[in-house]
Parts: sequence; C-alpha cells; structure tokens
Amino acid sequence: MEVEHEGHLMNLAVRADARRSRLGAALLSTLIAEARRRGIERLTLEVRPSNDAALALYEAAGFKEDGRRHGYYSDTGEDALVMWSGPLEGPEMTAVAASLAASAEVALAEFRPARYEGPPADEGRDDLILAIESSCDETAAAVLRGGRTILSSVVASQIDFHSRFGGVVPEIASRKHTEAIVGVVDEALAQAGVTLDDLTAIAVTYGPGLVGALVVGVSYAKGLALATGLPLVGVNHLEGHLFASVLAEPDIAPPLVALLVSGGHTSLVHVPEWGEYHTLGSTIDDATGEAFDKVAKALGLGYPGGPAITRLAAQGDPAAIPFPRPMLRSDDLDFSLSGLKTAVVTYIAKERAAGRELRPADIAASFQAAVIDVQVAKATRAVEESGVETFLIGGGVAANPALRAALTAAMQRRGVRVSVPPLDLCTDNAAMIGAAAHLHLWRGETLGLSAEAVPDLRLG
Amino acid sequence: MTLYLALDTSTEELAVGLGSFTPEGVHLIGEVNLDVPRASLTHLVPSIQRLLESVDLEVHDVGAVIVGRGPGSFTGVRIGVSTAKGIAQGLDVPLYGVGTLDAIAQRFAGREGLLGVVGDAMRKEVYPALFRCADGEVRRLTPHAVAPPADVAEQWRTYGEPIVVAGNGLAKYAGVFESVLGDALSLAHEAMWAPTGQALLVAGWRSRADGLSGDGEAASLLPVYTRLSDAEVNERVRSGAPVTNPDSGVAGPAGEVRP
Repeated sequence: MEVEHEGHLMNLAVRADARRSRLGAALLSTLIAEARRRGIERLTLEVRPSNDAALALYEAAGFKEDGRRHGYYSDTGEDALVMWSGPLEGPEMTAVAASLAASAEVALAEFRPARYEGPPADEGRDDLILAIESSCDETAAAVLRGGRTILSSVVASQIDFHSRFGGVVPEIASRKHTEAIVGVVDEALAQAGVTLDDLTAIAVTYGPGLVGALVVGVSYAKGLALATGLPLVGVNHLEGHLFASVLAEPDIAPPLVALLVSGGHTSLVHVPEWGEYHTLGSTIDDATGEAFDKVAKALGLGYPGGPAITRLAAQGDPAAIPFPRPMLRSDDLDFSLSGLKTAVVTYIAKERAAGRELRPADIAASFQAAVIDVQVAKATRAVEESGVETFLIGGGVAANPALRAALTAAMQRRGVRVSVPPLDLCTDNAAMIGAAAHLHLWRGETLGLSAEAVPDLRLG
Repeated sequence: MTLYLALDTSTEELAVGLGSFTPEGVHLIGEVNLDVPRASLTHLVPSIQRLLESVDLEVHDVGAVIVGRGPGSFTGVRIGVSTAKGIAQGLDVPLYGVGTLDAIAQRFAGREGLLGVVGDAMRKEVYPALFRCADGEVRRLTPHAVAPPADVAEQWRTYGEPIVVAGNGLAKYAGVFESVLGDALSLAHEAMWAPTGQALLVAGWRSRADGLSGDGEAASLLPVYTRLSDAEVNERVRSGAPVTNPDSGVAGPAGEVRP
C-alpha cells in the first residue's frame, strides 16, 4: 500500500516447504527495488515479536523497531512490532538493498531454470542457420552464423505488384512467393558462400501473417528439411522483429520493453528474458502502418503510405491541425488508430467541401505528430510500469525517422537505453528470423514436419 | 535407375507415389492416397516419410520429383508445388510438373473414347479438360481452362460421342452434365475422381516420353491457376481490358527475383 510517499508492507509469506532458502530476502529485495522506482521514500510494516525469522530478515534489510501496537493480532492477541526502514535513497538503505539483491540472486538461482544469457556467438556456437520469411509481401532468405552474424540477407520485395491495388493482395503475395522462393534461397546461400550441406538448421516464419503467404514458406521449408535431414525451427514473425535489435546491437538483453509497429501490428511487449513475452497492450483497431496507408490514400499519395507521409511531413507543420490523440489518457497500454484516421479523412473532406486548398504537408505532419504523441506516451508508460532500463523498436513503421527520434529522446530523458535497428532490419527480412531461430535451436525447440502455418499466432 | 517421387495436393485427396521409369512405363514401388480435406500441409511430408520407410528407402534415394501443378485449390496447389520445390532443391535433383487433371485422366488409360475431367473451381465454375483414350494411351485435346459447367457440357456434347466424365467438379455439377449430355454420359465412380500416386507417375512418364516435362528446374516450375487474382480481374473489368485467363496465373508484369 502506498500513501504519500510512504509504503506499507501488508504481508510477506513463503510457503512452508520453501522456507529457509532466502526466498523472503528475494521478495523483499524486489519490493524495495520497486518502491524506490515508484519514488516511495520509506517503508513500514508490522511483525509478530515471536517471529524470529521475519525479524531477522527485516533487520538485515535495514528496518528498525519504532513502536508497538498492543493486541494487534486478533488470532493470538499478540502485540505487533512496528518497523520502519531508513530513507530508501539514503546511503544506508542503498547499501542494504545491494546486499539483499545479491542474496536474492543466490536464492533465486536455485529456483530458476537454466536461462538464455544472450549472445552466444562468443561461446563457440557457430551454427549456420538458413532462415526463410514469407509472412506478407516480402520473400526473404538469410544465412546467419551463431545467430548474430549475417552472412547474407536477401529480400525480394513484391511491392511493385501490390502498389497499384493500394495494398497487399494476399493471392498475389502467395503467387509471388511461390515464384521467387527457390531463387531467393539460392541467392542467400550463394552470397553467404555456403551450401545446404554446411547448414545446422532451417528456420521459417510460421505466423502471424497472411495464411496463403505463410503456407508457401512453411511448405517449402518442410520440403527442404525433409530433403536435407536438418532440424526445422519455427519462428514467430513478431519475435523476429525483437531480434532485429540484437543483430544491430549484440549486447542488447532483457529485461526490456519493445514497441512493435508495422502494417499489421502495433503492440507493446514486455520481455523479462528471451523467449518469454508479455503483451502489455496493442491496437484495438487499425495497425499503425495501416493508418499511414489509409491517410496516404486519402491524400492521394499512393501505396505504401508510410514513406510517402514521412517525406511530406518533413515539410509541414506538426502543430498546424489539432488532430485527436486517441486513448492518450486511457489507463491501459492499448492503442486506437481508427478514430485518428477518420478524423484526418473527415478533415480532408471538409476542407475540400469548403473549397479551401489542402495543405498536404501540414496534414501529414499533424497526423504523424498525433500518432507519435500517443506511441511515445504509451511506450514510456510501459517502460516505467515494467521497471526496465532497455527499450527497443521493431517493425516496418520503426523506419519512420520522426517516430525513432521522438522515442529515442523520450527514453533517453529517463535514462533508458534505446535500440532502433537500421532500416533494412526494421522492414521484413529473414535475418531477424534466423536470429530468433538461434535461440530456439539452442533450446531444442523445433517444429515437426507436420507443422502448420498459424496466421493468428500470438507473442506471449 | 532413377527413383521418382510424385506428389499432388491440388484436390482434397493427398497423393504420393514412388516408382521408376522403364521404356514400357512405370514400375510402381509404392503409393499413399489419403482423403485429407484442408489438411494436406499437415500430412504431406509425414506421408512421404512413411512411404519411404515402408519400402525401405531413404529420401536421398530419390533422383527426381514430379508434382501436380493443378489446377485446383490455389492454396492446395501451392502446398504441393512449394513442398516439391523444397525437396528438389534440398536433394539437388530435377523437378518436373504434370497437370493434376492429366494425372486423373491416366487412371482411365485402358478405356477407349472420350474422357472429360472436371475439377471443382468454386464460384460456380469447373476446370475442364477433355481427353481421348485409345490403344492404352490418353491424349489431351483441350488447354487449361476454367468455365461454367453448362458451357463445358455443351462443348463436349458437340463431339456427338459417348463420354466418360470424372473429377471432383461432379460433386456439385453431375446433374448439369447429365441434363446436357443425356445418354452419352457415363459418370465415373467417385473413387476415380482424384489423382493417385501411381497416376502422377504415369503422367510424369508420359510427359517425359513426350518431352513436355519442362526444364527440371525447381525455380522455374509454376502452378497452373487458370485464373488471375480477384484484384487483377476487377482491375481489368474496371479499365475495360479483356480478362484473359493465363495458364500459370503469374501476377502482374513478368516476375523476376530482385535480390
């Protein structure tokens, strides 16, 4: 309970059969760290004078007796000792917190399964993975060594085939993948200077995405795995976007929060460790890239809308038109982009009806500013609530320079490390799929040859 | 002797065959034919594995792959073609294509006279193919196409000959063919409507013998769709351009890989 910068510890319990293993210290350590993060200045609690173990723990944690409540415990009529910590930011409690944290780490090590510690390339794991990605409108293949070194990354974009339809046509995407996939993989192998015989595993995106498009990659990869006898690793496309950051900055490690923004996705994900993902919030209607495309269409900018809006916005005034910031003040970490898109489209229609000349650059800049405001607000809130010190951005919309700049500035003000992958790793590619596959290969997580494509696959 | 692996998932029947070619025809080693509606992605590769195991062969023994290119369910065709491409590329062996309707037709090789095969094309249309069976051989008379069943039946009626009709298009449209073709029509038994592993091998053997089996390159083999995507059809209708149905249904300008 938190009242006026004071925290009241109501209860702390360890299951009987797990006592004496310093789990209490671990819990208390986590609590103190969280209290400090929230700006709580001091902590208080009550404890039974007969509870020697608890008293010892609290004293070791820097709590001192500061009074007594008579007959506090109704079950035994026992008194309660009231204890207070010193100022949490003071030197004494800082030292205590550090030693408690070390003790907690030892305790938790007993209970924690072996965990993935990050980039293993320096541990002699020089596995060669061929990764295949076909979840939307890019046919891509890449070869990675040790999950971190990109030997080749080939992307055959279909954008020219879809642009005249104003968006990705699923049937055309599926046909183009079928045409391109063998050539793309041959090219990736040739550029990497390896043959199929050199590979350790084959990886493929099995969701989420367009089902017909995913099916081509999954079928092909299964055929290749059957023929070569290599293990087949299935990768969640969104997990791939997280690993794009690791390829750019190999020392990036959880715990972290990621903002995934693309034509199909908009979500905030908490990553306590690689392989464990908790979606904190996501769009309740349009994805960010989708909103960019629709506004671009309304402005007659063509497809894809993201780059077109970005270019135009650079010449406009972001404060020219006060478009709404949907859900900016909502209590959750969800997004809504449909209302904003409608507001922009309505504005354009009204201006036209009134016979006023449109200022497309101002519209683009003001729309983009509204999108960015909400994304920055939600992302910083997610980082604060999760208490992480690392933040990363992934997905095609992460290529938007204004969004990158705004997020980077907001995070750096809070002392949070930011990773924004280079542009070619933001948009769909297979290198990021190979990087994520490396984790699963090491953990022995492979797909059977009866694997399906899962178009609505979730992350965590 | 080259071991051929043949597969097709264009219909709801999954067909896999293993065999070798002799100057006289196909030596069948084994086949798996399964009724697995909308589940061929799950069952195809495991079926190939089981078939190989059951005849004590390994995937590395396969020297060439044959795939049914359709027409049929777009996604179904792509599952077969994409898997076959992966296998052929992985083994570094040639990949050849056969028409799915041609494979079905090969099941009637012992007959004499006209044979029509109609695949279900959804949207009240069928994929028709007309063949003439004579002297143990099956010759195709018509190109790849998609058309309303009544038009197909009407065209076949003009031959004025008895005709056997097979294919899963009959599940919905047998009545149409009966009413147009009357006494001239014999409906094939339902068990003869889909390709089999053996039929795929025979169609492959025939097209090899006829020099029609393509260049053997996994990269260049394409499905037979007969229809453009809806988006392209609508675009042409809007612009007043003629809607022609290409064999391969390659979308947009000629595709090339741009690494």
